[in-house]
Order: sequence, then structure tokens, then C-alpha cells
Amino acid sequence: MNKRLIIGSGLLIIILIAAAISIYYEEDNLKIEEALHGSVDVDNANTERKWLKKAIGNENQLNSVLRDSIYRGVGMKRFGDSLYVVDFGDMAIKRFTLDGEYVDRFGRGKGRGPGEFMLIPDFTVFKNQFLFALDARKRVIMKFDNQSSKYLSAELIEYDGTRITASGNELVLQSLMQQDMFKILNADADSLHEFGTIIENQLQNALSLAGNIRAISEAGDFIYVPRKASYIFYFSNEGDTEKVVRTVDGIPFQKSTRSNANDTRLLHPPQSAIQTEDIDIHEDKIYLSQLSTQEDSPLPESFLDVYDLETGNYLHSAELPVMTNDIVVTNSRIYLLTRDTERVHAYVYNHPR
Amino acid sequence: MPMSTTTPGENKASLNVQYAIGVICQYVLIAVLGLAVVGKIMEPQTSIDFIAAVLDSGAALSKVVLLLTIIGEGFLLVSLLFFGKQKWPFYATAGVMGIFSLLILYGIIIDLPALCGCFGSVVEETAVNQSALIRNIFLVVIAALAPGLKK
Repeated sequence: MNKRLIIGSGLLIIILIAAAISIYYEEDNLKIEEALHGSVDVDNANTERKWLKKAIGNENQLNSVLRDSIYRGVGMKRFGDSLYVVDFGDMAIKRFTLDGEYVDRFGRGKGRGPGEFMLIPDFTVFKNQFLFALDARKRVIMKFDNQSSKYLSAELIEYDGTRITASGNELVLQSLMQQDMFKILNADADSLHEFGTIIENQLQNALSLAGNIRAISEAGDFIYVPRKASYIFYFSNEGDTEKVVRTVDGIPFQKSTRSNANDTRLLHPPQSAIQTEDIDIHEDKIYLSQLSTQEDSPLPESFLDVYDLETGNYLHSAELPVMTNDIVVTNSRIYLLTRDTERVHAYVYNHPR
Repeated sequence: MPMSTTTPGENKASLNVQYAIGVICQYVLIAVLGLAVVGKIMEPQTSIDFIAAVLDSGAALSKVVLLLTIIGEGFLLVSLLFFGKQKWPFYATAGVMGIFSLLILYGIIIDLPALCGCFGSVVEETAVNQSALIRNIFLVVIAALAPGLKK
């Protein structure tokens, strides 16, 4: 009897300690920050921003079709000599020349039918042959012929997809609600392998991990830039983390927050003083479209941070003339998809020598 | 006096089966409580959310309630494991499971949009619905019947 009492009490004490550690210790620890501890290769934090006053020049007048044919622009990318704009207004991806002339559109409008979109979080062009677009509501990857813009097929995906980029001979898909954050797909959208162990067991903080991905080489390398934390991650498509760069603001990954609304527990992304809205790669530089979210911040509301693609070193910054979501940088211009009007504007961009 | 239709041997066999069922019930309860304790320790957040939603409480109070719940379940687990020959661990388990059933019933009535968090990450989470209620009522029944079967 005494022996059983002692063993039973011992077991209870172990349960008590384990439960208390589990419930209270996790509060202030985000595992991704623990995993990152000591693994940052380039630390730009605490670097003073170097503002270029004349980087962005006058506005270029683009073809009025570009202005008039977009109802609600929510995404913009450049592939080759074309500008692709996601129009939330009539739920299609529209293609323009770099001067703003309308070329064609991908998608037959809003709907659940073949070639129709419900919600387009991202798209990419694969080897100039195919355009792949995610539909977050239908949970499909839709495939179009990039030359003719003809709808080809849709592949159901069991998981949510938030970002997609063509990287070498494969596609990289970012998914926030899965154990592995990245999936490598072939051109038929079949899953080849998955990785992203750095965010293991972070499902309840998935909103903290939202960001952008962009291919950086034909070999299949890509970068991931979180929206609300100051990092640039370099990955190979084999899943190796090749480099971790801390960007100038040094904002760590933070936990998602919860609230009650009409008896529903809502999950909110963490607040962040600086948000990375979009990324673009041009030649040997990474361009980050940054948004300052604090009213009393000394920073401009919307600005550009530029990093060296190879080294990850911070180079300079430039204030953007309009509140910007997405950016496209070319040799002589910068295209801005504005946050307020959801239209595309182009400005002269003077690359510093 | 009515004549018995079973022989003493058959009676003994029947009692052995009854006893075996009682023991199985005991170990089913031990397994369920073990999963519940380990699951909540491994993934406490879902349980915290469920408690916060039911009690309409903040995170601090929900965590205290969860800690007490885990201790309570751990106590029942240890009691069933080491004092399974006595009746009180079974009746205490039935009582606790009964309280859990009432909470789930309340959740169903108010259409609580939360996972029950009963087993944390060890078993796939179930929503607060009829199947969770039936499962808990089943556990109440076997906890209440087990001492009788083990006589």
C-alpha cells in the first residue's frame, strides 16, 4: 500500500511538473526564433538606412488601357517583357506590355467552373511556357498556356497554397497550414517533396510566417521573405537553408494573437512596425517593398529597401511616392501597385552606380 | 424455489468473463486518461482555447483550469492504476467524465466553434459535437459499471 502510494505520488508530481512547464513555459517562446538563434549568416540589424533621394524620378505615363482595364489590382509581377496584374475586380490575371498596352488575360472571371477563379493569392510563369495560378478557395493550381493564355488544367491540392514561384525545372509552393512550409512540385503540379523544418510545430503561429517567395536562380534556389519579421531566407529546392540574412529592422518572428468576436476565437497575425509587402529580384539585387505601420514612425509610409542578392548585405533605401503593395523593378523604371487605388503607376528609377 | 438452469462451472465461467470485462474497462479508462494527460501536456493550446471559450475567461484563468484538469486526470489515472481493486477511483472517474460530458453538451447547445482539446495532439482533434459527447457518455457508463463487473 505504501509502495503504491509513493509511486503514485511520484507519478502525479511528474505530471504536475510536465503540465506546468508545457502550459507556462511556451508563452514567450517562439520556436522559430530559437531555431534561428546563432544561425544568422548576415546580420544587417542596427544598420542605419542609407536614403537615396534621387533614386525615384518622375512618373512615366503608361498606356491608359493599363489604368482603365484594372478594377482592383492586388498582385503584380514581371515575366520577360510583360507585366502581369491580378485583378480582383473581375478575377483574372491580365497581361500588359511594359508600356501598359493590354495583351490578354488568363482566367474566365469569377466562378467555380473550369478556368474560373475564386481567389488568386499568387501566380508564376514557368519557363515562359505555362502560367500557374493558385486559387485559395477552390484549392487548386490552375495551369494556362503562357503563349495563348488558354486554360489547360487544374490540379486539386489537399493543402492551402499561399505563394508559388517557378524555380528551375520545378515549382515551389508555400503553404502555411502544413507541417512543412514548402512543397516542390513538377510541371504537372505533382508534389515531389516537402521541407521547412524550421517552422515545425508552428501551425498556431502560421499567420506569423506569411510572406513572399521568389526564385533567384535557374538551379532552383529561391528566397523566402516573411512579411512581419526582418529576415531573408535563402533555400535550395532540395530544402537546404543556404543562408539566413537579418534585415535592417531586426524584427523577430512574433506569435499570432487571439481574440473573441461573437463567440468565435479569431487568430490575428502579430503587429509589426515594418511590413514587407512584396519582393522583386532585378539583376543582382533584392528589392523589398516596405510599409511603415506606426503613425509616429520617423520612416516614410512606404519605401524600398535594397539588398545585394549574393551576399545579403544591405545597400540602400528609397522613399516611394505612393503607398505601395507590389513592386516591379526594371532597368529604367519601377512599377508600383498602389495600396489605396489598386492601380499600377510607373516611375523613372535611377539605379545608383 | 425455481430450478437453476446453469451449472456451477458455467456460473464460474460467466463470473470470470464478467471480471475480465471489468478489467478491460479499467484499462480502457487508464488508456484514455493517459492519452488525455499526455496530449494536453504536449499540445496545451487547444485545451486552453476550449476552456477560455466555455468559461468566457482570459488566458491566465484558462491555464490554471487546464493545469487543475491535468492534475485531476493524472490523479484518476494513478488511482485506477494502483487502487483499481477499490470502487472509488471508478466512481470518481465517472463523475469527472460526467462533468466533461456536461461541458461538451453546453458547447453543443451554444454551438461553440472550438475543438474540444480532449487529447491535445496525440489523437486527431475533434470538434465539440455529438460524437465527442457520445464518447464521453460511453466512458461514464464503463466507469460506473466496472466496479460491479469486477466483484
